[in-house]
Amino acid sequence: MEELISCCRAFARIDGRDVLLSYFSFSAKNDVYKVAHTFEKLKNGEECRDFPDEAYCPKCGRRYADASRKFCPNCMDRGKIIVRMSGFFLKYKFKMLIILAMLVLMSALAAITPYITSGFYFDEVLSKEGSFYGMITFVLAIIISLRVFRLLVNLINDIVSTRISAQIVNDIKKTIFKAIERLSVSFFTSRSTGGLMNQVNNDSNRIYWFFVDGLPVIIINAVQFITVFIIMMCINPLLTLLSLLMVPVVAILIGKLFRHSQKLHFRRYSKERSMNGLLSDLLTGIRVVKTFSREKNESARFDRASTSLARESKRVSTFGSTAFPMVNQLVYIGVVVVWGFGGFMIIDGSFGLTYGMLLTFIAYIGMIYDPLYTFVNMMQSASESFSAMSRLFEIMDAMPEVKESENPVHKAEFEGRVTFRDVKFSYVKNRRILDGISFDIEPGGAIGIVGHTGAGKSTIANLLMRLYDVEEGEILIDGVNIKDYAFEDLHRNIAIVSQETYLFCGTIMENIKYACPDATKEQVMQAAKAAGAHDFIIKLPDAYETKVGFGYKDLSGGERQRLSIARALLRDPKILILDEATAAMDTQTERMIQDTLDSLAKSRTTITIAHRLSTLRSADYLIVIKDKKMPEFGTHTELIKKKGIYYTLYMLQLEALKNAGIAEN
Amino acid sequence: MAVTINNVVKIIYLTKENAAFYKSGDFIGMRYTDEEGNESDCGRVYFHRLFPYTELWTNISVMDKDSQEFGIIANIDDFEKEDSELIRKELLAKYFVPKIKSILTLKEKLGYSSWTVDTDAGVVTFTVRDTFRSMIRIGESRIYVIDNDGNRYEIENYNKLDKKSYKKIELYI
Repeated sequence: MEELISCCRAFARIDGRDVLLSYFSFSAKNDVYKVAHTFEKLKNGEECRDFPDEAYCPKCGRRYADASRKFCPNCMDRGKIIVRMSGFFLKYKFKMLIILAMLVLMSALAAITPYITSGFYFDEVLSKEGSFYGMITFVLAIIISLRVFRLLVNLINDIVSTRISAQIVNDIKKTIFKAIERLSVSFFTSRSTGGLMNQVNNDSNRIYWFFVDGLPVIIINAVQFITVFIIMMCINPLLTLLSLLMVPVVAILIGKLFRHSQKLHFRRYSKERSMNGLLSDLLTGIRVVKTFSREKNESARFDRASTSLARESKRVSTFGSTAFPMVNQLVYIGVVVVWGFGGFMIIDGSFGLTYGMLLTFIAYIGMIYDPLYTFVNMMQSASESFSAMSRLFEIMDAMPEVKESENPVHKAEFEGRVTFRDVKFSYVKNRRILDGISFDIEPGGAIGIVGHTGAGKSTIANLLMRLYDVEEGEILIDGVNIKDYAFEDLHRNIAIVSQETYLFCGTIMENIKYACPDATKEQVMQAAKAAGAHDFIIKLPDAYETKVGFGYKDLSGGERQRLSIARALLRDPKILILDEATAAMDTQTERMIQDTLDSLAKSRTTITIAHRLSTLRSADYLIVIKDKKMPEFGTHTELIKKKGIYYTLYMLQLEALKNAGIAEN
Repeated sequence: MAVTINNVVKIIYLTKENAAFYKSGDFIGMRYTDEEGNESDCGRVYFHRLFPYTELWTNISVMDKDSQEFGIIANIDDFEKEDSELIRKELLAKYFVPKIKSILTLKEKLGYSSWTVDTDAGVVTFTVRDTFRSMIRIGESRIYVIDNDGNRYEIENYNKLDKKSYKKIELYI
């Protein structure tokens, strides 16, 4: 199978000749793979594997957006998402109920107030026929009490909301992070770090917003709309229908305007993002800009981005300050109609409408239109919240590709015998990286892995660490398949120092102790000495308490590698993998660390991956990886005698060293 | 003479004088004649556009199966018609991307958008995850949409789409 740009093609090798079978889209890739796999097995007389057809949604027949968790956005019910998500808030159900009760109260008070301050006041207090005629002080007391009560309700609502908001956001963040953390490395390689950070930070706020701000406000507004409508109908049905004449027009108009406003906001956001990206790019690369005297060009580029943002911002504010006031004018037409008809009804004395009732009515019209604004305004945010919830479930439901055995084998200390038996592996289906790799390392043995960049050397380390699982074949440690070991035992006994070292934000001490938090200061210093890190650490003003990581002391590549080696050595693993562990160091430092590692290697199995062949001088055996296979295996002397790939690489490096005036011992 | 990059690094251009292509079953092979006049059969070769969005038939890299470059074709039309047609056909197959003529439906739900589009290769339905980020924007009005499976679809000029189609993607462009 051959992957092209937007499709694939399958061909068969018939009598040594490649014959094109078919072109097909990426969507059919898995199906073609199944056919090819089954054909291959049948050809070799092997047993065929069943491939359950789980790629399509049984409800709508479409391919799952995410087949691993059978997720079909088309058929996913939003109600179910809300119910599932509500589980997160059960812990706070009492406080949530308080918030909801306060919001209902606020809504009820909002509905009552216009009646007291207008209709009731004019018809019952100021009118001679009113039941409370002349009792102005009493009614004022009621109005003030209502106001104070509303203020209290508002205050309680704010206090409770503020208290639980931080807790809920924290809970959601922790849940998202835990869900992400348990997934296999393959999940992280297919997603950007920025995207995941965004997911942890923003999605938690979006989910929180929906449950604490969005949903209650939607409920309250719906309640307010219905309540006000009923009150208005009770006062005067004809006038109610007249005043609502504009509602459909306004609702449609608001919907359209919001969609346009959303588009404008999105454009501005997009320009803002571009400008911020450019700014960050230019400031980070300011040295390059200056070196190549590109200040004027970059300044012009920034000018363009900034002007473009200003233009979009202007559009957003112009639209905001013109479109919505115009809608308000439409609402006002409704009010004028009510004033007119109401006035006639009062003069005419028909429908029993009083002046007070008319005033109450006018006040309620506004309250009918408010929820319309709220609903439309919330649509976008609600939709974003649903997407955030869906993303969270996507991660929570994703099955880690590398799973721990249900009944794992526990072994506190490995002996260190490593066996690769016909291991085949691909990161992407059909693009094999390793094809039939087999070797054995005795406990305490040391092997070196040689090969070109991208040959699959580091993959061997990744497979041994079980960051990925082999596709075919098996890897054994002390005769047991690594899939059967408990993760904890496996990772306690194997340590890897790779070229890409990562230091967490914290002190040097904390970083070395990362894999072994109980280590004493003396043990940390010993590990640092063995890794050649102690000497540079003591030169730093804060020595072992120097803060490193994002935003702190920037260490060089070689220094970071030395800390990484110290971290691995402190763990005292039975199997040590050094994946280009000393590549960023100068030859002298490397030689010094290599000597220490050589002495430490005597009591542990060591796998060393290196480009610099001198790094591998102490290996018992060398493995050469090329074109997914292992064409050479043997001691340095055997491979030199063989005059194959290793010999060529060795001679090239020797030549290079001679040319540089460095003699190889 | 001053040593410039031209003296150190040489780009090998494949021309009708030093390269000839032939059909080998369903694929294309190449015979190459080096500067000393030695002819060799390179076997099956692969073509790769160096500027796939802006140059369709110029600056084409010719490689072996391990992506080792034999040389670059400056313009396929410089070759004999038979050869240029062979290469053109192979490039069209490799870079086959359906062109969207109109968008029939586009619905966004739960972070995924579901599209049904009419393309020059027929009507197709696909799902896109994180729609805004799944679009490659080229120049002023060209867009590539990449679906969940990695298939690409091209909108050559979104300003030329019918009004209804344009409205559906307006938010993403």
